[in-house]
Amino acid sequence: MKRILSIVIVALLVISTIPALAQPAEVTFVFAAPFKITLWDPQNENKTMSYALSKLTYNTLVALTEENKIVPELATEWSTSEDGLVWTFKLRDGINFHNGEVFDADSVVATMQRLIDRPELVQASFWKTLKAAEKVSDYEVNIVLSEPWGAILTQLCDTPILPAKALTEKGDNLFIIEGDNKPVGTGPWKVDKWLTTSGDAEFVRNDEYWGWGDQKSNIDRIIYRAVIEDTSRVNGLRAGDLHMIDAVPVEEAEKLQTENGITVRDILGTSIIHMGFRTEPLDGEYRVFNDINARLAVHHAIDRAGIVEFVAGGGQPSDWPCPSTVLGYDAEKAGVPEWTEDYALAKEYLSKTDYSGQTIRFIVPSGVFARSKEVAQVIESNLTEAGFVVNMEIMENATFQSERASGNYDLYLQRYPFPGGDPDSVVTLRWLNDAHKSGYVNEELNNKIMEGKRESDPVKREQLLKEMFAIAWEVQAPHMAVYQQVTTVAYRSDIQGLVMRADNVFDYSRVYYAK
Amino acid sequence: MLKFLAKRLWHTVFVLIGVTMLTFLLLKMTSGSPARLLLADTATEAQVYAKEVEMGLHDPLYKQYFRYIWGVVRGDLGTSYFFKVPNAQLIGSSLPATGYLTMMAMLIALILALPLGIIAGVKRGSFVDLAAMFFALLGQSVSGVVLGLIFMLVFAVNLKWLPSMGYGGLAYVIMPATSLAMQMAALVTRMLRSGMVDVLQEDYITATYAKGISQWEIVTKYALRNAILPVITIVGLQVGTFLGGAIVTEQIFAWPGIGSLTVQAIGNRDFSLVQSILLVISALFVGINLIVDVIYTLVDPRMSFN
Repeated sequence: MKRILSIVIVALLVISTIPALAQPAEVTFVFAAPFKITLWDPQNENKTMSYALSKLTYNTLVALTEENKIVPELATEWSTSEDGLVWTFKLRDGINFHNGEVFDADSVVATMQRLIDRPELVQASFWKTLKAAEKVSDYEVNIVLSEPWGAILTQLCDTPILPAKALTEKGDNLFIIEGDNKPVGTGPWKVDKWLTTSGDAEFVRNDEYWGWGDQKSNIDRIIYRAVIEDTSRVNGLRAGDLHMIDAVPVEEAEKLQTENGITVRDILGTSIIHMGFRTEPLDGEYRVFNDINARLAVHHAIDRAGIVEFVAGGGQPSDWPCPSTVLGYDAEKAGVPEWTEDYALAKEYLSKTDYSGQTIRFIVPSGVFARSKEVAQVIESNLTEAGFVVNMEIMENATFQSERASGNYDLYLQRYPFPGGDPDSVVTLRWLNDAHKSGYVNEELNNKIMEGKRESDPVKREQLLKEMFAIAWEVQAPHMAVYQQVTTVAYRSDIQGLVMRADNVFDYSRVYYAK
Repeated sequence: MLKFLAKRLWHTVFVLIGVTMLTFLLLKMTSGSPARLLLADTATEAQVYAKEVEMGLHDPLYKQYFRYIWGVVRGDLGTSYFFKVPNAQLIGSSLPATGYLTMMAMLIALILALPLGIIAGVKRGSFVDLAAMFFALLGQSVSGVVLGLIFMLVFAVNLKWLPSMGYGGLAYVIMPATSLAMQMAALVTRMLRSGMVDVLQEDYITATYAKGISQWEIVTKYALRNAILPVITIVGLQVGTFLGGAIVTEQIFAWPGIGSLTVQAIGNRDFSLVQSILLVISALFVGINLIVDVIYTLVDPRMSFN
């Protein structure tokens, strides 16, 4: 019996190693983050990790550097008409998609046309001013807008170019990964596998990639693993099964820093943790935050420095409605609001309102950003000290989104990034269009948003954005920035070529191992 | 026996109808709109409403329910809002992983528990008995999650013998399966031991000793057959629980099973996917219980299919 059992065990062990022996040794780069990808259509996804993965497979007309500079990618040069309505791009030639299809003006036209024809796509909502895409010649294309749009180049940095013929033939099936059917781009890595339920994806190096030059990566296969559990990611890195991990938990970052062969990097990103005020009186209900003095009371009640130092595990106290890495940050005017231990200033502002102890409904989503519950608890205690009666509710993100969208709150805590380091999409959607039902209306602020939006000249635009933020900082509405978030990543120290954009869209496409 | 099976299967239909109704109502009671999550922050209220209408979420409840049930009857479990592929395909691709983990966990639990329980029962008060009881106490007290993390630290991070996570061959499944198996092993050890202790004190066992039958034969042929009955029930129930998703274990070891899929589906308010998963799991659970009953009847001649 014993002998049979041991033979069975040995046989099982041997069998389990056969697949490993049969495959030639590949150089792999395995990175993990706590996000699962559900769709591969780059125009229908709006998650940071989807952007990051699409950078492996696709190229864009222009690209964004770590310093938020816009550089050529598939376009070699570009210009705009005087009225800012027509943008002309000259395209690189000699580039093929992974399926052999040639990249040319048709590819750009097909990509942009899909955004016009399919308004239900998530990305299409950013392109509301897109009127047409016209082929000028095989390698020149015009993008025509219905009104000037200063942030167009930033948006193009995250608009992957799709193959025209394949798109016409396959439609949405182009983005289905099944058998030989795989999404194709012009990028340095080809999609190889995707495990729907785990969210893991694998990419193989595209040896024919036009942009390698003499810097072709020495990695054969990039593997993305969706690992939700924080401790598991850290253990995976320590065990050598993962080579890079995103969203390192605060308590583990310090320990990892002291370990040999592991690099830990903090990225002060473009995400801010902010509070939203519901200002509009609903059905005759009393809304204290309709009063600027109540908002200023909150502004001075929150111990931003304390939160960053003792609770959030890093970051920077907000001194402006946007982080220092975003266009429109005004270093001269920025300043962290005064906070005193006796809450005198906050109480003084609150005393100017007719607030008389009504309960403030403060909603917070769980698990959206690191230590969100602890941060919310500190804020709740700060507000209570200042004289507010707060009812804090921590809820699941889906419930939170629903509550917020229906305006069922007085105060909320949430995070948003400024994609590409440009405030356009944030202020348009969240302030001007009031996506979160704050009910706040400020004509002066709205006019400045529109002016900034329509200005194509970068210098003039920056000035307009500074003025816009100055108004928002003065009135502390509709949102109040609390702190700038830091993202911590850890990776094997011999990994090179990572491009970590401040908006947390990390570009892994040029990654390689130092020899 | 056929009559018994037919009757049980007929009952199963009602159980499953109950399950679909309950899950449907529970899901409808949760707040959060899948349309809003699908369209993310970029959508206006009108767009969200249009999407909800398109998804049929504004139809009367009975209409939504019967639409789903009519699909199920025709063998169509619907399509996931988020993955945009058939739910059956998603469930089909995660069930093997969960089944594999469950079978391995059960195997490990039984390999550990059967000899331990039997020896502890036979050699009551001996060192083996004490050790087995200590193991059982430990196994039932330490949660599988903690055990999983300890295994990971010891065998993956420090010794580097096993991969820390992922889905694959024997090397991958050992840690999650063992951490899952421990509680079941502890439970089975205890039950088997106490069963053996009781049975060995029965008169008929004394009679077999008097007949001069060897100890080995007495234990395996006469005592174990009776002592193992409650264990069969427990194993059946546990397998059902494992299949229902060893959610935390799957999360820790990044195991792409049905548990991970369920968590994701609930988080996304992917109603039709959650419903389908629960329906399939319930069907499996009921099926396993049926198999257990059949085994029970075969092992214990006192039970009959009537």
